Amino acid sequence: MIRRLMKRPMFVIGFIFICGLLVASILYSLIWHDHIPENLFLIRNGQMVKPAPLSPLEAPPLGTDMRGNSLAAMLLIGAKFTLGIAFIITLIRLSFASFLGWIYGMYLYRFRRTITGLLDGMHYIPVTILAFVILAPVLKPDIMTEIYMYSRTEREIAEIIIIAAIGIPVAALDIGNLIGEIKQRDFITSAKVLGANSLQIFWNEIRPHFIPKFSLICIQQLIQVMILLAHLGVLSLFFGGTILQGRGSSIHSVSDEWSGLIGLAFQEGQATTEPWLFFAPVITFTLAILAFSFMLEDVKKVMGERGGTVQKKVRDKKSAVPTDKETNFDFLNR
Amino acid sequence: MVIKQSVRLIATLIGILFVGCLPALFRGLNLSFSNYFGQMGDVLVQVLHPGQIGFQYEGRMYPLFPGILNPYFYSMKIFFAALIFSFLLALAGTYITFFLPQWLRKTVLFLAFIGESLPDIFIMVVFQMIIILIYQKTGLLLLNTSEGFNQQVFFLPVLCLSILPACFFYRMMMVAVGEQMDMDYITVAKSKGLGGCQLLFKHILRNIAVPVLSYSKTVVWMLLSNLVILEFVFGMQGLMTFIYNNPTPLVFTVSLFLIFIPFYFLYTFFSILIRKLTGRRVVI
Repeated sequence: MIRRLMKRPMFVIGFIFICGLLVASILYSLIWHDHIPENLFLIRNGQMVKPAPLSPLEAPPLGTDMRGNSLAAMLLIGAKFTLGIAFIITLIRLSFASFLGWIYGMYLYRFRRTITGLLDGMHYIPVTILAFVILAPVLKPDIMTEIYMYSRTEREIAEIIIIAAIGIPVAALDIGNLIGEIKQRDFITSAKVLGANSLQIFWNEIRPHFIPKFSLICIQQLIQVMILLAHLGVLSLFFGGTILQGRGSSIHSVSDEWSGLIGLAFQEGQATTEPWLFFAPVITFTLAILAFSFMLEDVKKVMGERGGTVQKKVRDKKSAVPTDKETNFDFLNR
Repeated sequence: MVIKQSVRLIATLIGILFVGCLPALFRGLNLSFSNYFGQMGDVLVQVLHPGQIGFQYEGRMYPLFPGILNPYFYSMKIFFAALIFSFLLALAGTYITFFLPQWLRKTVLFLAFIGESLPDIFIMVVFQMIIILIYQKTGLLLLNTSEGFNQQVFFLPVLCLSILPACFFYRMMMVAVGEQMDMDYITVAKSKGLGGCQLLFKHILRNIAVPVLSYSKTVVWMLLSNLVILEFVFGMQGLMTFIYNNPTPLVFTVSLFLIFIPFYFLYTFFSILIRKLTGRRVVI
């Protein structure tokens, strides 16, 4: 499957974009140690012409923010955090969801009506506001004293675990339904008749059908997690905590993580005069999401073409049959 | 049938109650199950006496009903308008696409794919920017980008909210209609001389209703999150802003119940309608 994906242009584009972004981000911190160039003023011919924020034309490539920091450098530094956090959250979410989904699909699939009914309510709960309501007390400092209840590491771990946890039920239901559906097919009955136990059924019969669809769920979850992080950023809940400056008027992100940059743009960006403050982080984020969607689309297409890995094995066996008929046997009644 | 439906409804309501009280589970970073279940019982009692619930606004207590109703109806108005508008847009798009030549059809589908993948934040930012640009160039303020003192903006948020689901519905319907087009009954209908319009709206639409409705659940789920950001960006005084300002388990749970109710009736109505129209029993 991976070999076939690598021949797909859209998958390759998305993959190269994400990998390139990650590698560039890591190299930048290794070589330049996350240095952010500052341009507090536009200087021409030794004279200060204009204070920050500077537009992309005045301070290439992407302009600067209110404090004169280069947006491009901040976005590049933030890339590895954002993608890394999204990967970690997806990993935690899917490992728990796979385990629960496996139990549900293999052993509790009988009760699917009740379980689906219980989780049906999740379809009417906006995830963003749910995450906000749970996370706000943890991530925001006390308004009066401006002191955090918890250390930065604690806040980061809490945010990762909570965002991972609120997606587990729906993901587990999806995975469980996938397993349960495959389990009701005819060849499973044959395997049972031949004496396979449930672990053997899962590993030998269900897994080959399950993995391709599971890879779809993985990318979908990754996209959802990234969008949720950006939404939280807009609601001024930044990863690692929100710093309030002054009397709660100005806020500022602890890390250069993208959701923080997006949220900041929404907080202090002047749409009319400084559009790049909006567009630099939002477009970078959009491109990353598009890259994942491109990959997703080609995974779907490859799956639709030949039904995933299972049929490939069959094809290989067919091609292993010798084609040189005449030398191997003769027709009896010719 | 009725018993099964009511068991399902109660299960769903309990599920919502469990999620709605989740904020009480976290006392800072510690899990407190006693607090969680205590809060759940508390909310249950209070929901049964809705007249006595209060919420804080600028340090003073106000009754939740009717305080929450105005933002609620506003949000739902925008939400359903966007949902219906996007559906009609997708339907019209599907109809038009079948008259397009093959190469253009592929391009349109690719554009819809790109549109479907865009994050909502991007669309909202672009929208606001376009309105501002038009205002700067022509002095014509098409629509208020942000809510004024006493007026509720309607058309721009609806337009903004309906772009994503329109792409979702469109792509989904193209696949579903494409499947139906290969079936025998279409050939029969065509040979009898039925036009494309009659074919699509009378026969195909009826057959793709079930997959479209079950897909619409995913769209609704995604759209609710978009609504949160939309209300925040446009500064609308809707239900999501109300929750944002009062993030307590009680207000949150009541809001979730309020959001759930219209959808429950809508989906029940549609599954009855489908049973009447096609004779198929479906639970959506």
